[in-house]
Amino acid sequence: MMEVFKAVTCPVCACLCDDLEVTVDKGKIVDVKNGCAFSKSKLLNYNGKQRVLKPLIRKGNDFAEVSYDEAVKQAAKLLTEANYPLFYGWSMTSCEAIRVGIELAEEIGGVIDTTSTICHGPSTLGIQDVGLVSSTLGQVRHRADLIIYWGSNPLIAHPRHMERYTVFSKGRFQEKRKLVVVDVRETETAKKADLFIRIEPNKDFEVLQALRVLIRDDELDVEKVAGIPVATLEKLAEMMVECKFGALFFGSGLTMTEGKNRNVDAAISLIRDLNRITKFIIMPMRGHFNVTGADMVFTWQTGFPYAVDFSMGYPRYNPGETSAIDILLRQESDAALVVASDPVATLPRKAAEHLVKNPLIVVDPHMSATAKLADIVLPSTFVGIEAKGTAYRMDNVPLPLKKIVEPPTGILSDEDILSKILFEVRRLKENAS
Amino acid sequence: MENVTVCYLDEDSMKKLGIEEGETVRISTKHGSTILKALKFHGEQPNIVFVPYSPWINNIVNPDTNGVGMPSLKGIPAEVEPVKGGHVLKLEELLRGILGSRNDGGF
Repeated sequence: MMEVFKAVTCPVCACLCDDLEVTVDKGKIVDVKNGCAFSKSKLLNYNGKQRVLKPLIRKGNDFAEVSYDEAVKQAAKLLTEANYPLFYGWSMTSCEAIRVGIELAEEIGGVIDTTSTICHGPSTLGIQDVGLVSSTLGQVRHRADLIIYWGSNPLIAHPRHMERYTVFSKGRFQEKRKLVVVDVRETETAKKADLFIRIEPNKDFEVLQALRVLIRDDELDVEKVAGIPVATLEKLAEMMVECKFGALFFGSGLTMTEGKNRNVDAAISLIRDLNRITKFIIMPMRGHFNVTGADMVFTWQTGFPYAVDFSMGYPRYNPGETSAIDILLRQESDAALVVASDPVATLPRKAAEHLVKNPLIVVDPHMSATAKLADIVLPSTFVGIEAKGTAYRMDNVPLPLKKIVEPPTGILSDEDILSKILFEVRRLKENAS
Repeated sequence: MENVTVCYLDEDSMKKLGIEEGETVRISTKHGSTILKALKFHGEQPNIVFVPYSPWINNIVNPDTNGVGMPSLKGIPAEVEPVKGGHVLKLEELLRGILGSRNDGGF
């Protein structure tokens, strides 16, 4: 019999659209309403041929199927024997699983880091430097009359962001809004803009600081900034000053280019300055569905949002030193546990090369690129499809992830797998003492 | 894989560099090089090659984190040249390269 699940939270990006209607027939998802192309693709195809259905341990060039007990035992042994293990990933699992992961990293005395480290880590640094004027996405939807996307292409990367929260949405108090896009290229989102400003690559900091000057009614003694005529920037400054409620959403166009966290400092400072004149908020366009939740759980458990080092017996945080990529580039880690992430596919090549030299344990539903190179693969359920949990939307609002269908027989959740490894690690440590 | 083994150039850049749509190109930075299929970008994007985030470009990005933990994955100076009939690596070939130094495994 067909069953329709309503108000399902989408486990793809940090928009966490919670209005999906998912139809299940004989234990299989057969239809998804309201979802974007990414959402439909994941929910309808998650159980494909790349699914791992048995724990695996590497035997030379091949993997051998083993029991969870055996794989957990071996994983715990590798981690307890290591001096400086790295626990990496966490952005595509539940807050409940992340909590256990942090406990495991603390128990072993390793470094735990999230994919923020290679995405919006600089945003966190910027926020720690100068604070953040922000709001929920609901407030933006109902009140904002000016939307700016800076270094971000939501029509492609967050397909329903504009439809649910900004220019294509109808708010209670605000239906029409102006759209400004600042980017190095005329993206799909830029083509929809009332004003598109094409900026030279790596020049965001200069433009943001120029705008800070212009909104104060001061003059710039140059004709162009980053290839943009000052008159165009004056037009943007005027739109910013004259709006009633503005919202600036920024993407990795600020965090991954020259300036990194200093670009974010400048963007937040611009918004802070604007709040002397009008109401304006700023928000990072977070990527994976629970990368925000990872920051949250890390912060409430350790005091720090990512790149937390427990090797001294207490949490230390110093991105650039305790961050995953720096540790891998310095070739310091001697084992790694990767959960809900694919660093071999996403890290710079030199970092990935050191990662796979480590004894490598992967917890993932799929045979990802990282899993292909692992020593131990522990298959897990898909959170938000086969397991419930909690995730945080990009505006720091927690939402429930539902269990819609049963997982394949015998497959455990990330939380259960990590709890088993933690239990085994504690048993090994007790025996050793 | 075909969605990420491509790069996008605007019409002017393709003309200037003598690149036909669908032809393979070599993208080189001071960190390495990679071969991808060139597609036309329908919009303003002068002197920029846009490449989707994937394992195929991890050897050409700048791994230096400037002491803040974040490598530079955008805004990297690069050269683009046509390579007629160039070989776009398969994922297995790429992974074999990453695994190369380990000497105890493969697939």
